[in-house]
Amino acid sequence: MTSGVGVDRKGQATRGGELVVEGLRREFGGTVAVDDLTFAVRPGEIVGLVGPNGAGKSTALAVIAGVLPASKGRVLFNGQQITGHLPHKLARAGLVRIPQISQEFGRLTTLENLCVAAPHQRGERFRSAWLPRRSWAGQEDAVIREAFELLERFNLAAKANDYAETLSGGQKRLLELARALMVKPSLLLLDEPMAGVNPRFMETVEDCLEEVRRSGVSLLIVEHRLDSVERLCDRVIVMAQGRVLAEGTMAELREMPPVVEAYLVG
Amino acid sequence: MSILISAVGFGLVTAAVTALAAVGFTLQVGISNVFNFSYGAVMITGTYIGYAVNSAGGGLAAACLAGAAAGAVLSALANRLLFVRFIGRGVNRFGMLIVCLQFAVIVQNLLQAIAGDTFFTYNLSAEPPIGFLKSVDFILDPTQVTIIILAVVVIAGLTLLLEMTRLGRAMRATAGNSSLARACGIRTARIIDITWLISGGLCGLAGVIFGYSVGAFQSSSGTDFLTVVFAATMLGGLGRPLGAALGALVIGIAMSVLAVYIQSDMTQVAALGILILIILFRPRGLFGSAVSTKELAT
Amino acid sequence: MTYYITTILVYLGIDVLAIWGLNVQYGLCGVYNFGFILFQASGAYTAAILTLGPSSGNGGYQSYFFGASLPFPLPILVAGVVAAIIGVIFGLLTRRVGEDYLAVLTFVLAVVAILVVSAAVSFLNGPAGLSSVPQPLTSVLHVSLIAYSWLYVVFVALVCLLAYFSLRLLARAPLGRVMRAVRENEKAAASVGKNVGGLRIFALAYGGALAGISGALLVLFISTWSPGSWEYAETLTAFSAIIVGGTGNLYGAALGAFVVQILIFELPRFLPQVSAANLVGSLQWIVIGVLTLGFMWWRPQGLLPERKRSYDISWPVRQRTVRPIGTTPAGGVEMERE
Repeated sequence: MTSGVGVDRKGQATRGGELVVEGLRREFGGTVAVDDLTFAVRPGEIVGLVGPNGAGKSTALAVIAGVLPASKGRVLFNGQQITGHLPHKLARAGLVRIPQISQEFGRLTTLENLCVAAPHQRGERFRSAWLPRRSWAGQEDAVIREAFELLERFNLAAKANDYAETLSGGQKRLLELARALMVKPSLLLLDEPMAGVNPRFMETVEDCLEEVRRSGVSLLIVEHRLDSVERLCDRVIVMAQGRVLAEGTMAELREMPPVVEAYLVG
Repeated sequence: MSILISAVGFGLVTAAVTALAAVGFTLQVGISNVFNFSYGAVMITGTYIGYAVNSAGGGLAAACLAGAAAGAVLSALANRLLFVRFIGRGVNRFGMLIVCLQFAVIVQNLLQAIAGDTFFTYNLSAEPPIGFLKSVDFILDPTQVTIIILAVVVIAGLTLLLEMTRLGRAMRATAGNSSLARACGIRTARIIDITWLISGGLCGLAGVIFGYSVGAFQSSSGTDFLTVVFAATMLGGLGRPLGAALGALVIGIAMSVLAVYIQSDMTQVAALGILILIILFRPRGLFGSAVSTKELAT
Repeated sequence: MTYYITTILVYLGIDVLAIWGLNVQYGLCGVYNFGFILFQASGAYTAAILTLGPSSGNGGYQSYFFGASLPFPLPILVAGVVAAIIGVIFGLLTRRVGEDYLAVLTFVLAVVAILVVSAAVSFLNGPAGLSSVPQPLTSVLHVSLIAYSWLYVVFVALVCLLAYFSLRLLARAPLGRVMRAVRENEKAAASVGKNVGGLRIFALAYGGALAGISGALLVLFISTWSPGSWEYAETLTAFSAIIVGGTGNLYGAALGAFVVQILIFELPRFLPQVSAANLVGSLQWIVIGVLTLGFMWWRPQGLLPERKRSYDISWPVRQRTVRPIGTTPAGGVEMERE
């Protein structure tokens, strides 16, 4: 699978963000969840992060995304140090994490869920409480249009004016993906995107993810469903006990005895 | 110096009342994960009942029993009929605060409607301070000493219950992880009821001796006192009965000693100031466990 | 009788303004501020000491700090600013403390504030509070008592109108939307790059300013203000009003203010005297308590719920008119906005 070319928010061609994790460590209350983790996601790649339960995959994602502090090590995003940066700062830099349990804005409509994610909205400034509508109306129209297009791409347009809490599990997953795209990210961290998704819906989700990559976004996916991993990922990293056990394509990994022993079944 | 010692002595009385109340409060926080801010109202109900018994000629013992019983029943009912249902509806911590406070307002105003809007005062005959204690500067009369001993005995008994008996272990297990406890065969619904009965009994009992120790009260006195009780609970660590008792001891004595140096109204401010600092900088208090890693799935 | 009507109207306007302030904090942004009454109290005290003049004047029977005799609208404006500053402080505290503890922290702050003000008599005249606050413009307007009351009603109504327009702008703007997002799910809001802390500070400051102005308007009308007027129970009543009326809806909040703060307290005046006066007082509180619990159980979205915002895809994009449709999972009827 080749990496695609997309357009970033400055209008320049982009191949997706680059993530470098070096010696990352996360311990809390005596347990070491992540221990000397080192790997990279190259621009435009879809990288899978697999491993047995308790290997530290979700924790690693949370630390990279700034939800949990790192005990040691560092994370570089597009060459910049981002270790310990808070989630909202990372989002503005183009790094968004989509957690395992869908986090939609329940009492906002599906369309509003997307609109709110658009960055740099003039209408979000505090002075909007006193300035007339026309100071932000133009930009708002553009945002709404962009949101509608995304909804159509993800086949959610019919639900545009319904509260997000009324969506099904799979639809909420797509909504969150679409919302992340509104931010114009260059790297997405996905924590078990297939969890709780109807099996008939999974191919749709996989297709959407592939399309996202084609538009110029790198993906790092933690996933248990190895068939999805095989279909989507260029490269797979196997984690065990907080560190990297092996790296390679699924085919390569199947040949490695320690990997098979620790994790893979067939 | 002797003023300080007698202040400490008096602080022990305040601490005794606060400790009984705080232990009950912390049990409720532990078992139901709700800051029950109607605790003060239940407490003052106990005070009223104790006062009624006292006025009818009953002694301290009868008053205590009546108050404890009333507190137990009222608390258990409040939990079953009100708190459990709202929590089951998915009302969050803030909503529960409103539920508890509205319940408190209803209870307090019912008391006012029934008993009248006035201040009630105990006309206890002035008892002379106990001789041998006075010689070491503790100016305490027999009733006050009884209160202190009562608090110690009850809290010790409760600790024994929690640590040594099957019921106690079941209570601790349910407070720690109710689904796990249920999976182990513990009848958690019954345990929760029992915990509320016991903590409610402590609440009512604390109310009765509160009345005896302060001498004068009205229907809103409970919620005023509640903030100090809450401070003791937070200081000791939520869900830790012994911690709450210790927190009460510290705060009770500190407030009493401070009263020697500053205006007495400001001592409550001092206690609440400690509470604010705890909430801001160390919500787990002295003995609570550190907050575990945030739910990663979100 | 007319004097009674004007007084009620003034109180209504002031309460509506205050509840709208609470609506910005809680209804729109979801901040759990149980110290809400402090905003109205600080506004009232500020307006009072800026109108009374230095404490040594008037024979010095009231002691308070500072004190000035500022001309008409200034005390009210400064009151709003002071309340806004307190809102910023509360907002900074919010960052420090988790959601779980914010409610109890603000509750304790409200209790502490009353204790401190009552104990430190030289600060704001202690438990006696401030009184004899001159009503604005009485020296300029030589009108009868009744006429002045009506003028005040108009004045309060104008302030409310200004607030209404601003709040409508806020609700429709992306700012209102992002505040609602913070209310719904602050972690998700942060993950898409929103400054959650800053938005909360704004909500507390702006909502607080509205409450502060309402306090200023109140004190300048009734001329007194003491700790008895701002116990924690007042915050509870405010939340009752917004729960009953409707959270996140300007009309709902106003309705709630009317029902809880005016109707319940004034109704007994018109009913036959059946029992002792203090019994009625207790009964009112019990009714409010039961009413609030009832609404929280059967209709948590209130009488007039927050309205859904729908959009048409046709050019130019505009919010469209839709007829009311079925039920939400919560069991309420959603009315779409026009």
